Order: sequence, then C-alpha cells, then structure tokens
Amino acid sequence: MSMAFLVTSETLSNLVQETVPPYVSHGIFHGIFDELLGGGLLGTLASIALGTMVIAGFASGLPAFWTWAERRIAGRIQQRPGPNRVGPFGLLQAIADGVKLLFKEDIIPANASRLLFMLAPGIVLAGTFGTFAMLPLSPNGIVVTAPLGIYIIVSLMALEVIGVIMAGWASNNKWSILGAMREAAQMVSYEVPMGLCILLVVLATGHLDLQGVVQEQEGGFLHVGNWMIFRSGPMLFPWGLVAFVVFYISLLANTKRAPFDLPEAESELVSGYHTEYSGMRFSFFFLAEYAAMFLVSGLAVCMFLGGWNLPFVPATFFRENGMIGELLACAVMILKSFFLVFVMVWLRWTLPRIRVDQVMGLCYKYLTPIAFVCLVAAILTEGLAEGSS
Amino acid sequence: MKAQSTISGYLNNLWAGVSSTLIGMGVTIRYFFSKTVTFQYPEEKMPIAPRYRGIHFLEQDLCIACRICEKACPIDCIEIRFTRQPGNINQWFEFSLDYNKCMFCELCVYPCPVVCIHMGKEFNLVKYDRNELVLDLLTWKGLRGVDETAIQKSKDDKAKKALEAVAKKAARAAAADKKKADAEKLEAENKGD
Repeated sequence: MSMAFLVTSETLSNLVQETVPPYVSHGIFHGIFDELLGGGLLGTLASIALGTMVIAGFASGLPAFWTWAERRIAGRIQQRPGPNRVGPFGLLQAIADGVKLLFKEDIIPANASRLLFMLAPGIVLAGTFGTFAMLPLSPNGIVVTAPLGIYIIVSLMALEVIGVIMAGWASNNKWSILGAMREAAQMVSYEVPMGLCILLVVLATGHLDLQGVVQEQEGGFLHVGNWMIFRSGPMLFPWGLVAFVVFYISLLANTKRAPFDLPEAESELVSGYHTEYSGMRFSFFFLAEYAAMFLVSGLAVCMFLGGWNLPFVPATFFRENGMIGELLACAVMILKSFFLVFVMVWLRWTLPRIRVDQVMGLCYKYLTPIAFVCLVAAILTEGLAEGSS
Repeated sequence: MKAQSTISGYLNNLWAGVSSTLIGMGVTIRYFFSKTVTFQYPEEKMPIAPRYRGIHFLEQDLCIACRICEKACPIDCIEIRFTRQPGNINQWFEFSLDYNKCMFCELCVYPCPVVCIHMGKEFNLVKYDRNELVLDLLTWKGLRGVDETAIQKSKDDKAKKALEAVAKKAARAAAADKKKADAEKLEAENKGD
C-alpha cells in the first residue's frame, strides 16, 4: 500500500492532468509559470495558487472599500458627511474597524455546537470568495476559465445558505434560528426568478460561461445594441430590461440587502443568524456579504450590461491592446459593477424593510411570472431566430 | 397595497410598487447631492444666538460689590467675598459661580445697577472633577475673549445711558433755567406793574 504514495512528480503531474476536469483551465495566470517551472504540475499548482491569492486579495479589498463607501453614501443621503476622521476622507475606516474586530473577544456560547459554530463563517466566506474565480473582469482576466461558469457560480452562491443555516442552528439561539430559517426560505425562493433570468440569458447567448456571454454582447448599434438589457421581442416587449430588473431584485434578496434584509432584521431578530457571533467570525459574515454584493453586481453586468464593453468603443480595442486593453476592460467592468452596488446602497437607504409574507408574495406572485413571460419572449425572438437560421 | 384579484388590480399593484420605489429613489438622490448640514464640532462651531446664555463673565472694575446678583439668584449659586477699603476700593477675595447648580436663568444679570455681570457665549462645561465647576469669575479668564461683542455692547449701552443721563441733566438744567427765567420775567412783570 505504501508504494501507492511513492509516486514521482511526473506521474503525479499526469494524474492531475487526468483528474482535473477538462472544462477547468486556469485563465490569465495560465502560462505565466509554464516557462519558469517547465509546465506540468508545478506550473498548474503555482498558477492556481497565484490566482487564489489574487482573488482573495481582490475579494477582501472590496468589502473594505464598500463598508466605507456605504457609510459615506448613507451619510450623504441623510445630509451628513459620514466617516471622515480616519485617513483622507475616512478611507482607512475599514482598516480601523478590522483591527478593532481582530482584537475583540471571540465568544463561543456555552451551549453552542462548537464545530458547526466555528465552521459556518468559513463556509459562507468560501462560498462567496470562491465564486470570484469564475467572474471575468476582462477578455482574459479570469482566474478559472470554466465553460460551465454560470452554473458553478450559482451553485457556490447556494453554498452560502448552508453556512447560514449552520450558523443559525449551531448558535442555540431563537433569534439565530429564526433568521436562518428566513434566510433559507428567502434564498431558495428567489433562486427561482434568478434561475429563470439566467436561463433566459443562456438561451439568448448560447453560452454557459460568462466570457462567452460577454462576447455575445459585443458589437451592434453603437456597440451597445447587442447588450442583453436592450434586447426586445415580439410587439417590442423589452424583455431584456424587464429580466434585468427582475434579476437585480432577486440578487438583492439573495445577498440579503435591504429591503430584503429579513434574516438580520434588527428590529425583530437582534441581528438574525449572526447574533451570537463576535470578533473575526462576525467579520467573516460581514466580508462575505459585501463581497457578495460586488459579485452579484458583476454577474449582472456580465449577463445584462455587456461586461467590459463600452458604447462607441469596439470590442477589438480591448482585445488587441495587450495589457493596457485588459486593464481598461477591467476598469470598465469594475466601474459598472460599482454602479450597481451603488444602486443597492441607494435602495437600502430609500426603502423600508418589507414583511416576510410580502417578500414571498413579491417572489412568487410577481417576479416568477414576469420572469416566465420574459423567458417566453426570449424564446420567441432569439430561440426561434437561431433555430431558423 | 391592497390585494386585488383582478388582472387590472395586479397590474395596478405592480405599477404602484415600481413608481413609488422610483419616487423614493428620486427623493434620496436629491438629498445625496445636497449640501451636508453637519458642523465638525471641535474645528467648527455652530453660530451662537445673540442672546445665548452661556457661562457668565464679570467686569470687575465696574463692579461695586452691591451683592444684588447674589440676592437675586434663585438657587444661591453665587458667592461673593470682599472687604471694603478706605476710599471706596474693594479688596476682592472671591466672586464665584457654582455651575453644578446654576440653571442659566439670567436673573442675576437684570438687577445689576452698573451692568457688570453678563451671560457669555462659552457653553463648554466639561470638567474632570465636579469641584472644578465652581468658577471664580475674578480669576477665570477663559470667558471674556469669547464674547468681545457683548462686552462692547454693554459698554455701548452704558455710554448711551451716560449720554442719556447727561442729556436728562441738561434738559433738567434747561428746564430749571427756563423756570428761573420765567420766574424772573414774572418778577420783572410784577415789578413793572
């Protein structure tokens, strides 16, 4: 038996190449290490490690920025300046908060289920951060090129529910379990309209990976005509726009943003499923929430707003200018996503929290039927057009 | 939103939801681009009302130590200690206000015959110890600089009062003169008769 573990580097490399599914290659970092390390296993592992570090850095930098930005925006909406003391414009506020959370006491309730209690924040964080690997930021700027990218993203986002239910149950607290049950009900329900909108985009573009989806939206009138949001169908029904709105509302519910923040409704449940969490474990939930905000906005941008495409700028501009083009595409993509995150914050400080029955009613009575109508319209225009050609 | 079972009710409901959200977002974005109203306190201070009643300040050289303010105070927070010296000069020991008690009613200011005690604009009563809140207005110099205009105003008032007094005296003198003149005239007339 011990001989089985004594494998040479070469055979291990072959093993990895055989066992790693053929639909997972490794995007922008592929090739950087191939020359240095002579390809094979080490190159693959090094590129995966570098990619992991880059997404982990990116995904944890975003919440740091957006916790500050949300408080600033909230302040402006209420005619006050928001945090402006720590560093220029208060930009270092997130670091100050992070340090504070690090030094806080890490409390585990006596009657909590220790293992699940400690695992839950990690699962929530991993589910959100892992998804960043499949999010294309520029034509080649993707850590893992997966032909089933959208599928993997939706699955990983669903992993968050498991973490939240674990947290709620393991806390041994009524508020926590109520928050977790609400979260589960809400997320499972809103995956229906969200899935329908994703199905619609997949149907119209014929791709399951986000890079393909973005490529399909290149060109057209003023280089915006092919964006999914501007597609319209029989009798000029703007199903692209309607589907985008439905998708965006479902995303709000999926990331537990107001007005769908019932799982952590302060006025009813203290703070929902993370009532018992403190210190770094709490901040993991927090990081995951803010990272998920950017992530779902990026998903919406890729699927409906043409990804890194800009009006009046041909897509070849980003493809043929090497690193500069890639970086510009990345900037466009991030700015578009930031705008959607801004709208999330804007909505949060506009709308009051709605009731549980209203959340469910909105999902099943309004969003799901509307998404179905959009899907039928998409089939009638895109699907039939493709079938006849 | 009322639940309606007809198709038009459903669509009306949908429209109400979308339009009210958009109206609300319009309101918030208008505030987003409006000016903030916050004062960054230690650096900026809010404008203080002209008749704000802050910590008192005393013009010691005007004070005649009549103790009327001490008597006027409804909660006895003023304490004055002095001795009269020959030549009407006062030897001051203490003119203290206990801000643990003081309710800033301004009743000590009105009866002052020489207008030497005023309400200042200093409002910061933060101290580390309760005993530090008993301020001796003779030695405590943090107040006067805050409210130069009030001092000026009180001086102006005093000058005005003095002018008025002078004018009144002059008028009285003039009236007396006239009376005298009238009397003389009358006398002369009487003599003429």
